[in-house]
Amino acid sequence: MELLFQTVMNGLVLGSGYALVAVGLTLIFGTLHIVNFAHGAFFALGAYVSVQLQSFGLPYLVVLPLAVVVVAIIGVLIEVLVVRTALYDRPEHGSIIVTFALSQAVVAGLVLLVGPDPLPVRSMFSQISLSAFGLFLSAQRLFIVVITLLVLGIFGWWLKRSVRGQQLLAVSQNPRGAYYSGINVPMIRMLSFLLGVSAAGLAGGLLAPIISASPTMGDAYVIVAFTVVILGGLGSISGALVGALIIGLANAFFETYVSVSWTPALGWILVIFVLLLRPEGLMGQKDLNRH
Amino acid sequence: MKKRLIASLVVGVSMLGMGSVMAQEPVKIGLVIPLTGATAVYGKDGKAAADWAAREINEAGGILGGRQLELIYEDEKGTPQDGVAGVQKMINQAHVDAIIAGMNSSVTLAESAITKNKVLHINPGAQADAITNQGSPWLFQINNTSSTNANVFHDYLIHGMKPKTIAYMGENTEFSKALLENLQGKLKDSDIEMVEVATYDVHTTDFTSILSRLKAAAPEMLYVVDAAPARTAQIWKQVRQMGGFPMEVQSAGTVFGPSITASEGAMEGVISGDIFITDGSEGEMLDFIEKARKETGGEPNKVTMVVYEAVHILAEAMDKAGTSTDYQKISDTMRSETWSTPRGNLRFDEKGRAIAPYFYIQEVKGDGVTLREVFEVQ
Repeated sequence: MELLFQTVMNGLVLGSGYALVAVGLTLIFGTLHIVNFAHGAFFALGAYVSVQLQSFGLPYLVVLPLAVVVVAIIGVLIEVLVVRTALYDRPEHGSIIVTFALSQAVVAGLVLLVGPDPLPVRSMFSQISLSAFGLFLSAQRLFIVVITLLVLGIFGWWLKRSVRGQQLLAVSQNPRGAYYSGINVPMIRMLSFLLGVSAAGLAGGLLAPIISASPTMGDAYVIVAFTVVILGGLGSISGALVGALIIGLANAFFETYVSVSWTPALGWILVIFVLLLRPEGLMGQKDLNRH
Repeated sequence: MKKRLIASLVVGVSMLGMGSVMAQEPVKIGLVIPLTGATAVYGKDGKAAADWAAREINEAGGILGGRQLELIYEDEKGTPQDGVAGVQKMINQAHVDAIIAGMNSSVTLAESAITKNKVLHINPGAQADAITNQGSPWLFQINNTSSTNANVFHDYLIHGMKPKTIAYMGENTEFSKALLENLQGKLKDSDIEMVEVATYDVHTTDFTSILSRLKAAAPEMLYVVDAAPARTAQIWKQVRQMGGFPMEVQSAGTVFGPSITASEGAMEGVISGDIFITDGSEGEMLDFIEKARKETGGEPNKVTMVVYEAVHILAEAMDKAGTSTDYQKISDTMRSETWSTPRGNLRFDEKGRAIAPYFYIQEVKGDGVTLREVFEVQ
């Protein structure tokens, strides 16, 4: 019974980490219709910026928000110099090629600048392990759950209640119509990209104390993020959270009770199963005419 | 008659000239190593060691009558497909005289299928027995094989550490499979029970579920088999967060400085083994370590040693054989001679495997490892 409760807890904790990576990916696709294969690179950047900021002696709780700001600035530069020119209002397959190239360039740049060695990110939570009724949970993972719920909650509220949030939704549904209604579409697009990559950077900073910063650390997470986003529904924030929790729980149960080796395939099997029944994903909306 | 004599003299002098031109052509050695990817730390240390070894040889006058060594690098990125592409490029485009490639067993197996009967191939680091079991006449291995290391290390685990139960977790690769088979074979003749076996995909980063399952089996020893430094650090951090195990062991030949540092103390007390250790070293090995620190700018490790040895042994074998391209002659020379290295004299067996004379049991302490016990390898 202890193992069952531990597995449920592991699954929920795992899922919250996936949710933070996935929400950025789904936001970028939902608003910009860009399949962002560079999302893992921004995840890694969040971790590496955390390493660099810590080397100046800053505590982890100061490092984390600063790392998000730095990743956001890098995101803005990339949006202006690359994304805006090469990807907006273009076919989606173009975004796959360009963002994949971007991710390879970032990884190569990290290896060149910082080297291939895994680097630690120190957190006051990572050495603390909480234990009760035979269950174990690291304090860092609990911190990740709390931050994820907070960020997703604030973001969901902002989307629904703020003017900019409503404008973002409008652009995601009908960019031309939004433009004709007087919405500053280029600014909203930049904001969406910035928020999306910032979420990835935050996830990198949160997970680095557990997995260490390494140039290819984003690869595995971005693959899972894609399964989460497709499962939950492309462009759906709540779908990203639900999809993440489902994938997290499924992975935890499969690894604990069945086989670890088959886990990478599990997410895709779930995706195929759900898409057969509901092609738009669990909480996605059917594709509207966007022109 | 006179014209014929003059013509012969001209031809003869030209050929002498050509001979001296040929003697200046460098001996090209292709190194296909992971410069990026999950095992890039091996490539970084390997490149530093190879550059140092080549520099030493060239400053001493080169080989084969003054020919300098020229090292050409390709990135295998830690994947079999890139390893294959790398060796193909070396053979077909760079036209190298020999290849040094092998840090990862799965990658090296793929590479050796391409190099077989085409080019002389020295594998410095990959351990899987399957690599040299192919019977490729021009393939040589500097590092111990998995089975040689496993025989000594697993004997120590069973008869030295004596756990009652073991839980095994390892990457889903050739390297890990070979170790698991070896351990299961040895456990048959002991009272030790293997209570859990968990293998995982190399892209796994979160091991919580696996560790929960292993903890539920309450083993006395956790045996981790993983050759990637970044993943090693992740695993041990997560082990610590789950409360740890009474005895903790990592596969022989896979504990490196970068993984110890990245684990931030989570690997403290973990037992492992290797053919290289700095703690307690003396004589030629101590000289090598001190020189390596100056020449490579970093703390030397096993990768530094095996790549350094690979370049030196290859160059010396070519020099003794009097050729850089007659691979049969060079291979015969490698098998028949004894090679002086920092860790003692090495010989290659009929399968091209070098056997290290000593095997060191080590324990992680602080930022490095300390010597626990030394075994002479038979």
